[in-house]
Amino acid sequence: MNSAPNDKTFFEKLNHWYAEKGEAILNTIGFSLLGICFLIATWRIIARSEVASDPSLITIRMSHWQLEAGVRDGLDVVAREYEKICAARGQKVRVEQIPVPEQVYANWFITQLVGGTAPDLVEIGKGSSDERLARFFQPFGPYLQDANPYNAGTDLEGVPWRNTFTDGLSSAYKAELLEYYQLPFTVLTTRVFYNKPLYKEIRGDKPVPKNYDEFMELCRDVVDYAHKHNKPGLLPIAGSKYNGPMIMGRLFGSQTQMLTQKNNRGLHWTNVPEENIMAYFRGDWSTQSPEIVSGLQLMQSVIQYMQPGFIQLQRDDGTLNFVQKHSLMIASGAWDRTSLEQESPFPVDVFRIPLPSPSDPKYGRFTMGQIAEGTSTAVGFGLNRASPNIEVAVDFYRFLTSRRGSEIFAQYSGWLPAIIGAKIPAKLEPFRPDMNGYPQGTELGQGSESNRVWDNNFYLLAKTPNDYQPFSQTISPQLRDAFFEDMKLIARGRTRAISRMDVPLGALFVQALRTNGAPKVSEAYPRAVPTATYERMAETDRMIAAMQNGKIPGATLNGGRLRVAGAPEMVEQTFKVDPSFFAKGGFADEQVKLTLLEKVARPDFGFSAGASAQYIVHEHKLVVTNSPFRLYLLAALFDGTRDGQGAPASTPARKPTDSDDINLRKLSELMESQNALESAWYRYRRELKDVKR
Amino acid sequence: MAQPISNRKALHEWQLYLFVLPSLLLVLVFAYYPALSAIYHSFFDWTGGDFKQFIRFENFTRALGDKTFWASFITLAILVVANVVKMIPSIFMAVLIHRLTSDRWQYWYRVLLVVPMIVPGLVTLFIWKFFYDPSLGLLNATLDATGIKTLLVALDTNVLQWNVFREGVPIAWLSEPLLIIPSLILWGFPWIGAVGVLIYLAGLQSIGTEVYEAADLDGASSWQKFVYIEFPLIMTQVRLSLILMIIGSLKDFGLQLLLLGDGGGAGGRGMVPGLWMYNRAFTAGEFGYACALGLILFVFILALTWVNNTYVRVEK
Repeated sequence: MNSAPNDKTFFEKLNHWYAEKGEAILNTIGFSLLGICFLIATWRIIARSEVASDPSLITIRMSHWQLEAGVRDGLDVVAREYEKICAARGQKVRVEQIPVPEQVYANWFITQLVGGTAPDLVEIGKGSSDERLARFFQPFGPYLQDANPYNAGTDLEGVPWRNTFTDGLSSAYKAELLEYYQLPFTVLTTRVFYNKPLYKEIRGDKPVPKNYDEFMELCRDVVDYAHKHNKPGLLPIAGSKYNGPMIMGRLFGSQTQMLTQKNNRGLHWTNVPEENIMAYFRGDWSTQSPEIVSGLQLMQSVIQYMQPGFIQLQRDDGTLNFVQKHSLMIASGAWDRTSLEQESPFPVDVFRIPLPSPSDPKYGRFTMGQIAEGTSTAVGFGLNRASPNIEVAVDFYRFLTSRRGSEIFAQYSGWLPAIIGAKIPAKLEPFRPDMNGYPQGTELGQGSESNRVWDNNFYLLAKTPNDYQPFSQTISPQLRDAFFEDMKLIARGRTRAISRMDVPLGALFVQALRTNGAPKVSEAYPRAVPTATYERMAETDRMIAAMQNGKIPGATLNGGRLRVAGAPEMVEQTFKVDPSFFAKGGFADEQVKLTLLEKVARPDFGFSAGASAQYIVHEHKLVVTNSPFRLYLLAALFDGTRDGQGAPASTPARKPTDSDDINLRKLSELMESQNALESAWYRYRRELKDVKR
Repeated sequence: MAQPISNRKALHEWQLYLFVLPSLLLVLVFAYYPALSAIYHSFFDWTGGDFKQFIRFENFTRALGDKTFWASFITLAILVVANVVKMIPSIFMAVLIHRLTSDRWQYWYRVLLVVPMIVPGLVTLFIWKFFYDPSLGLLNATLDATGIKTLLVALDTNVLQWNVFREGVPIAWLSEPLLIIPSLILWGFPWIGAVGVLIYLAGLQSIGTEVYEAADLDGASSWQKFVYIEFPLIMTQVRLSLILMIIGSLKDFGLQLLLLGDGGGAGGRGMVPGLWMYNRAFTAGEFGYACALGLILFVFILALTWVNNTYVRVEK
């Protein structure tokens, strides 16, 4: 029996209304919303198609994951400025940005490239393996020797594009691929950010810490202040998996500077994982080495001033802790300056991460001194090989990395410029890299597996802040296996890279020999060609044919001399080869004697004068470590007796002087003492055979 | 029993089979092709690109000696057992809702259960991650406010000797190896899954009222009704949930990845086979080896599903 309407409950009335009218009304609303969305989408597609169908308009798209405040603004301003320049010369160009979140960038990157829909300029770094770079990207090498036209009217006018970057693009060079696949446009430095009003409240007018002792004193002051003012949640430093290592890595690295030099038999004055691993296998160091112990203790001294369990926290958690005034300080880079300033409800200032000096009674023993900054550039786009507008994309990149473009970008983004002589905005002065100093030493992690072991056991350092032994004893048995796995991965990558390079280089080698009249390689040098290449002689012949037809970009033969675009170091340096090398017949004995005769002239670095040891070291790495075959080839081509010119190498030796910077002098001393560089990879392989797991 | 039709009859309207083709094609491309590709690549040293080297069974022999991989099964076993226990609250919730006499209230409880389903899973994960934050998290704040922290400290000091609950030190739930598995088990408390409850409810609603009337005549208590009537009659649903849970536990690693990272967290205690497979593929770049691990996992899933189907019988 139906009850009278007045007797109905609210829910029954609601049901009744819905059955009578509600459903129709809701359906109409839903359908209208869908219709509106459809119309908007259609309109946007039509509008876009109109633009895209304009044949005179060139659209350059660039993708990146730099979502920090200011970066997109900076790129936008540079893009608009470039569009104006193009318009002035009658060219219609539009530059668009595609910002993609960092977490999904690698997947996005791969799918866009495979799907053929990647933008013209793609930020390199996440998901960009060597294989993908070689397959999908156009190297910048052929463009770098020419001057950047947007530097006209400055002292960089006429200077090759490569040499306008503060590090001469040494950090961008892919030794394994013999090319430049990205051009970095900033320099990264890290600082300790602090809450200015809180600092003043705690310490009054005391200056910010300049060394490790003063930094510890500041941390203790914060703890005392928190006790006195009943603020148990206030911490000296906001830590997270992202921010914590920025301080701790530096501290640990300050203690392993000398150890890293000892480990490094290849004379690269930088941190080379293979060298550290091989030194570990040789027994040259362990987790009980005094340098490592000192580094662990130094880290423990700071860990206690971060929140417990900070290693479980993400970057955002650390930032939140800082901006919510739960901590006085946080470590991050110049790239976070704008974000932190905008998000913090208080003024923020910075100071350099304080490290122990060599005179420090406890931690000075193993440190060489202040860690040099800004020796490399960072963050860069790659050039999509499938881009229909490669030349315009390169031209835009030229403007972005011109002095003017670089200054505009720095001003709006708050990121440091990477171009020589570009003005650093006043607000970025505290982030100016200090290039005086020494390279940072190694950390314990040398690859994915040892990093995992490090991460998994890190909690032990925090759990027993006055005793490193639990950490050390737990990690030791795992580290050996982890290093072995890391070395295997490195070996695999190296072997493939060598194998890949050997083919074109083999072709050049054969060509060079044929220039000298040798009919067959096997007749001229029966033991000179590595098996891998020897087996590929048919392929090598095809390579020669392709090169002669100009089909291998960047590689040309010039009077018997090898020129590989993008790797001018190979032709700028002169090597004298011990003739016994040839007498020994190649690779059975890899003790190749080389003497560096000439320092490559480098322009000033913009920020401060002086060449970087890393660069010089980098050049050595390029030439010496990657492929014995390449070394042999270079030797054959540049020996002077085999370069097709018949002229001997003529550049005189140059002794280092006191006017050279300390890094170069030190490097030269090391070189003079050894006067022989081993072929590193084959040495590793030889030594690895003796390593028992 | 349905009679089989003749081939002639089956092929009489053969054009109708063309309607199946698009779906079949999609299933082949997106479900079977990746699986077959994984089988193929498990025999290669492959880093995910064009280059690969045939290495026969090397990936599988390596997996047999992979300590991390096999240790991860211990963590997995603990989590599977915990997940079985975590199914119980959903069953009880379904029974409670089923026993409500008011249809309207039943409806609203079902709505309340379904509403959280519209929250994206990732948001739920992040909220739980925030619960576990040592300094700002809700869990530690609750333990401090209720005094339970003091009890835990006393328990740790006098009985457990774990040295993980300390006075004046916030509990680091996700960076203490001993607390990682308890944290993973605690995740989702009170463990009432909307999908599970709805599945069980569907089973319960198929029980006729005459069964309850008969039980009432026999003087059965509420608990006896549950044990002798409701639970046996929803065993089909329970078995389905069990299979899905086991397959899910073996395959899933999103929770561990988000909370602990791809290394499995402190001491690697949160490492499960799926996460190790992900780690090898995307951190170490060993895609071929990861495929082999995936195949081993597949065998485990198949075996467990067979055991479940064979031994967890439903008495009709």
